[in-house]
Amino acid sequence: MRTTLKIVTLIVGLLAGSGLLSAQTASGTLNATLINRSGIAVVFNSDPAGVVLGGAGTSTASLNFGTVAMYMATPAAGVSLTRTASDFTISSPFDTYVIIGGSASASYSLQAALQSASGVYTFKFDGIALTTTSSVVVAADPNYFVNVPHTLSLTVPKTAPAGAVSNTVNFLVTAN
Amino acid sequence: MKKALVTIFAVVVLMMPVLAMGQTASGTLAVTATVQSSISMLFNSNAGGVALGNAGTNAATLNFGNISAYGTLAAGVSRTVGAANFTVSTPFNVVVQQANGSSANYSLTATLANPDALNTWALSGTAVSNAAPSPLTAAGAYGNPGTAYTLQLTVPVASAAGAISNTINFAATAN
Repeated sequence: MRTTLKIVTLIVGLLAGSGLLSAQTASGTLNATLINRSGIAVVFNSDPAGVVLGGAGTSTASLNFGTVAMYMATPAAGVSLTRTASDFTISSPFDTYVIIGGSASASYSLQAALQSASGVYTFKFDGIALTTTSSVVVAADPNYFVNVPHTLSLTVPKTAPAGAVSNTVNFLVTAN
Repeated sequence: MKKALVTIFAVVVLMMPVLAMGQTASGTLAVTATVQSSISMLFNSNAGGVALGNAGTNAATLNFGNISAYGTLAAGVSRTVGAANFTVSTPFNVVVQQANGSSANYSLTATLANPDALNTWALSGTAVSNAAPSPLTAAGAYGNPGTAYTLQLTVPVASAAGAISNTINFAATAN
């Protein structure tokens, strides 16, 4: 009886072993969960007609007009110069590039504010004077994933002293 | 219980697009410039002189018109006649402006662009040649209406009739 049981066990084992080796299969199921969260971002790019931005392609860029003077003959490449009797204005185009994902937003608004009080100088975004109070400079732009040209200008009074001028424009983009 | 879950699911689904709206992102653009002081010069017509061509620019023209020792002169042109020559003159204004500077005044010189061995050129009594800059002022005042200078052209009566032309280069330097 014991011998018979051993033989049966061996046969079953061999049969089972040969079956596993000849056509092994396995299956598994991975339950993955994707949480599709919407998001928006703005980056700044150099405009072909403007000055080359520092940190282009990021959301913390810099725009340097270089050395300017009211009666200079030729400003730096990408910088435009206009004069009145009492001041001069330098300006340069730059691009905003707004990215959005996971959203059905059809447009975005853009707000801008100066980080510091501008004193005797006037900073403008697309002709809109900027202050330290955030204001809507673009109400509804549908151009996601597109370089949108804007113009930043700086007006310097004739009576202002020579020297460095600096400020930071803080932008806030909001999906409509 | 099942009905409640369905209701919650429906509300969440409906809210998803709403949640997508109003999302914000920020960016900063640092702006810098270095302002330098500068001066400019331009020429304006003087009420008592001939009208300049390109008045209000730094590349003007002054045309005395037809001049002669004894003939009629254009409006704004004066004349003195000597034994050997005659001098025609007319005033014009030089305006020098300063921006973003602290200079109190400027110096001004003038130089003829081309030599003139026959005629004599002068500005408010200061002879001007192409040999060297002639100082016109050491402390000119900035701003309008500028300073009136009289251009004087002396022509020998023995010289042949014909056109006379030259260019006077002015140089203003902030003090």
